[in-house]
Amino acid sequence: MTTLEVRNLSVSYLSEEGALLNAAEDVSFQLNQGKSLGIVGESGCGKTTVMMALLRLLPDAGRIIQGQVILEGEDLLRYSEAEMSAVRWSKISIVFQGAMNALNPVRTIESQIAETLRIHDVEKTKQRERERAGELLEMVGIPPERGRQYPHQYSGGMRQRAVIAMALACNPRVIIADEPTTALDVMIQAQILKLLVRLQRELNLALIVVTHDLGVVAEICDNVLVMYGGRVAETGTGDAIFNDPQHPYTQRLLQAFPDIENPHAEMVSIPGIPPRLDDLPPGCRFAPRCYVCGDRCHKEMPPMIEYKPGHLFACHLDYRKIS
Amino acid sequence: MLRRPYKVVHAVDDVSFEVQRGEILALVGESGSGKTTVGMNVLGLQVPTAGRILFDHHDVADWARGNLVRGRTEDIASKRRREQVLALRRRAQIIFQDPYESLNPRQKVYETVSEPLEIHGIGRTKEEKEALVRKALEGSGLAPADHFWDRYPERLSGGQRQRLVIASALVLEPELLVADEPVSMLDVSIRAEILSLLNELREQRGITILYTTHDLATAGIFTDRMAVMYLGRIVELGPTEAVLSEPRHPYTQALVSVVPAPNPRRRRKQVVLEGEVPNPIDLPTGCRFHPRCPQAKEECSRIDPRPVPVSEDHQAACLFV
Repeated sequence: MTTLEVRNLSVSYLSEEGALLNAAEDVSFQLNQGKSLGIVGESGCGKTTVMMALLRLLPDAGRIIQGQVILEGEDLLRYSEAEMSAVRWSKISIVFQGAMNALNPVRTIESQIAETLRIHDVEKTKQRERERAGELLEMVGIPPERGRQYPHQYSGGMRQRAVIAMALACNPRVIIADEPTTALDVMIQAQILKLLVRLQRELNLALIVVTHDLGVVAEICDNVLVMYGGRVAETGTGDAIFNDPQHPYTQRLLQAFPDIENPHAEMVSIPGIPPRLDDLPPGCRFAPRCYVCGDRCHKEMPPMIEYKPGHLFACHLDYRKIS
Repeated sequence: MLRRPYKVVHAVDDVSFEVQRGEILALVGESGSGKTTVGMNVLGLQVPTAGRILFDHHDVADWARGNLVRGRTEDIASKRRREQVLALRRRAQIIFQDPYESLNPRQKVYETVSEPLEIHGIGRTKEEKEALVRKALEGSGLAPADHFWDRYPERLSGGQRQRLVIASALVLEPELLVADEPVSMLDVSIRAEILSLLNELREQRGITILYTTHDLATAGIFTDRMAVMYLGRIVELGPTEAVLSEPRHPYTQALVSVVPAPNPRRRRKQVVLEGEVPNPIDLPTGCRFHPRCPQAKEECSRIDPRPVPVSEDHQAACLFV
């Protein structure tokens, strides 16, 4: 069953000069209960914008231009702010990047989890709040008695676990993890990924992982959404994206990723940088960096093509065939 | 007065390795393994408690010790040492991790790259200096140099910033570069170009590179040999390919197993170690890795294993290799 469906979502930011800059355009995807979706792309490709729009946590300059975000049959974009705050954390919640910044440094971990429980009226008594906080910490592999400690007494890996515990506090159906392992050591990264996979299975969560790390996606995601310049470049199952990529950007991104089992494979960079929001190319967003593009790519936005059932990509196919 | 009994932390303990001219050695380990400390010692930026660091037959550690007494007992010997340290700096440079932090935001590109020349009194005329800066910038892939000359770092992309950091190290034409996680803050799409730049520097100029990282995958594609560190010790050392394809130390085996393969068809059986690297103030007895080792036996808590050769140029410090 589809838990979350995003339809034609477009988000813009209002610039100081009063212009609307398109940060995400026409983004669509679906996510079923118990499944995971990886949203990948370089910095500035719009993945964070999409994520914040789902939660309706865009900065003041952010405007949702069009689209629907349907969670269990209800369009979140039509909710009032009050209705939305009731949904946030209890139905859809987020594990923020940079666990140190997501925690309050002057309060104990336990009291921060208890606060979430109190605001959302999950537990009725202080006693129960503390017990539940302990259960949540145990669930993510932190001894409950360490709940009485402060964030600075935790290592980076434990802080990440604590932030995950907090996201789980109100039994959400959907969890969004924003770069959950960036800045963590390899072994700690493996521990956190293992934890996310276990929690996803045990609690039957729908999981969205927003990351620039294709390795993380290959490791834990069922489906993948590749974004570039605010648009969806390609989407499909993990197997399709990694073994039969169609979009030149996806192909390049995969070649840029080092493979420990294949050290002699040439690692190729993608020359250039992603487009700036105030200087988006008129045609295909990737055309200025693409190695197979033709005239049409610089003029017309490519349509989304269904290559195989569930595997879609946006590219002017003809020009790719010439290459 | 009461004083807390103090303990000495051995950040790095009994580490020995050699790097040949023109070689790229990876120093791999998690936070707290001591890899950065080793790099700092090699450059004379920190002084080892014991041991020698020979750079082209000269003892860097000895120079660094002399450098620290500056200003107090300024005798001829320490002055001489200071000059030696300055000469070492010219021959051995470092590239730091974060090009957003390691560049002065108020310095233009030209000033950033020419500053080392001023410090070392290189280049007599303005033209001479400009030629050297131009050469360093273009050698680092910031070409044409004039295009970047007057820019501030904020006008550069992440990859360009790291190239600028490399240029300001290259301008002195060093023989040794310590590259401390030079790509971990960069987007995946530009990591390859920075790593191939480092590889070019080795191939074209014969520069020796010490690459410290926690990322086995990038280390795997461009280094010749690899030293794996755990809690201040080198636990395995050998040709990169051998260490990655046939790791012998249980710690290396675990590290290699958790590197994500960029393909869901190749998800592997991972050995995910519990817990974290312990605090070096309370070192485990015996083998430092034994409390987390999936293969530990009784004697591992008693005997501190010495590195043993597993092949001609490959060694591992485990009782059961």
